[in-house]
Amino acid sequence: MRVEYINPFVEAAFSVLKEVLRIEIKRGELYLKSVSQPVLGVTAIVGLAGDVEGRVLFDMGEATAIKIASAMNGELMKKFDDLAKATITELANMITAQAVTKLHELGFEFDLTPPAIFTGDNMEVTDTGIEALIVPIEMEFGKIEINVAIREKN
Amino acid sequence: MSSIYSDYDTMESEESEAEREEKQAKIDFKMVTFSLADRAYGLDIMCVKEISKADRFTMVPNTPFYVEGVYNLRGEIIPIINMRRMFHLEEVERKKGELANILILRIEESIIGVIVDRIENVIGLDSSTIQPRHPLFTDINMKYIHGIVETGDKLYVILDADRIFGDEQGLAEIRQSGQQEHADKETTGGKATEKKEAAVGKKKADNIDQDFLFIKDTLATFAQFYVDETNQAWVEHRLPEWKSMRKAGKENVQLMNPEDALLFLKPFYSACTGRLWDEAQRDGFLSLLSSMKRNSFKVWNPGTGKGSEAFSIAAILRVAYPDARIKVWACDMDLLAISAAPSMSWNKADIPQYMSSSGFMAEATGGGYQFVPALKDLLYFEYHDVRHGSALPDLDIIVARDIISFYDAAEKARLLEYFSDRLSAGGLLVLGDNETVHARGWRRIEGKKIAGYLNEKS
Repeated sequence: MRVEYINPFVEAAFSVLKEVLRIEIKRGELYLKSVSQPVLGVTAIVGLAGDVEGRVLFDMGEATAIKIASAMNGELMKKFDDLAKATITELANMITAQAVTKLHELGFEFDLTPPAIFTGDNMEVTDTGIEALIVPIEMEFGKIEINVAIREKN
Repeated sequence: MSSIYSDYDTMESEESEAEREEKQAKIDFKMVTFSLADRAYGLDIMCVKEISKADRFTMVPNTPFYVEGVYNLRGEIIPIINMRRMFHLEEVERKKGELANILILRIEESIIGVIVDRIENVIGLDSSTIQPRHPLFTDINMKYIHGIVETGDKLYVILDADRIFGDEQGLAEIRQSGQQEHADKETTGGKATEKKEAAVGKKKADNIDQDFLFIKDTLATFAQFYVDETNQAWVEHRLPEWKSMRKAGKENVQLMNPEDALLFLKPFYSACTGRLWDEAQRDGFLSLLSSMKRNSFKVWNPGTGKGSEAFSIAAILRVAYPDARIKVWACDMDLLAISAAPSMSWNKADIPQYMSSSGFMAEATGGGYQFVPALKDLLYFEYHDVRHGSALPDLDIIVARDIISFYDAAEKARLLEYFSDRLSAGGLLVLGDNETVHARGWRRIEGKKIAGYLNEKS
């Protein structure tokens, strides 16, 4: 993945999470992955189009997702219901949109697709012919893995 | 003509007998036992699909020496491997009309047949009674052994089928040691008068060999540097130099830690590693291109580090081919280094004269000199691990200096295959100064103090 794309995503994730959750957030070591990998249970996906093609996944466990949704809505949620799903989807949208705005300032044209959310056990994601950048984020609610795979259109 | 029969039924009954004998023991591992050169072996029953007898295998040319041929097993063509030959045991010729005993194994997705001397029976075991392998037990390379077990009054060596047949690496190692043995036989099989000399020479050679093997192992451990045919010549050349250097300093010849390994490898790195290419390197690179008549250069530069190499390539091409279309994809798996690459700047003293006079470098605001945007636009810097696939277009040039030596044999082969796949026909591959490729499909060309390889795919 082009190095210019990395920082906008890391920064956007960091600042959006910090702003909406108002808790301490730590970034883990970035790394690359190309094989299929398990996803944690709740996964929001935002597609990217324009100069490039790709997608961003926000992957977290259900407990983490509920805690995040509770914090964002200002009320204690017990189930991962429609409102919680909509909240996580919105979070994915906010982070990706901010990253794309930053990229736009650098001169890259990216478009977003509407986000979607997947929930379930024992899921895995496979990308063929494209490697993904993993941005692990740790906080008291649990961990979120942001998985960015973007390739240049040739 | 051939005949097959499956004697699974008889085996099942023997199995239950064996089970009854060891009633008290917990049975959680079953093995099919067989003999090979009068020794008893076992294989985990889970990888044995069936057993059969057959002869008349269809010989296939250009296969490894241990492949007897292929065989049609109820419509499925399977390779047949001769186990005696594979482990360099003395071969016995089958009498006319005698059928070979074959274990049909299922390893991962593939099915293969293995010829053994005699198939005995199935024995159930308590897996905790399996002893770890011991190097003195057998002729077979230790790492292919799962363990040793004593049952009844017999010792069985349990083989690890996945290790032997599962990955190409295992087979490749066996193939290599086979070739070495052949070579040894040829050299030691000389005239009787030369024998004495040869023996003395051999002892000497053994000594060198041991140092070499030790260095080879420790380079892999401490520096993830894998010695094989691509770089062996350099290591052999480096060894005497290293020895005299270490002896002069009264230090151990062997590599004891990563620092030693780095010191040993210091001269391995190609000219101008980590800095802008000088005139000599430029002339060498351009001399390799003289045979390529192109007006478009798509270049891939894996392992570019902080980008000096990629910038050099882009600038040299731009000056030499002002009208050509040029694009350089540069990548590294070191995130910090590659992140610094797009805005890299150099001190005036580190910039070769031809580069500063090219007009492609300008003084940066924060001090130092940077390439101008018109040149920067020719480059893409990517955070990328070359073991993962990527979406590169068809390339004209790959500059991968001192990369492949840091991958083991299997990954190296995969990388070279990937290079060949991404490079257009007649495209140029530039490896490190001390690396060579012997694989088929690459034609070596000599330039000024530099060699390159042309992709010979059609």
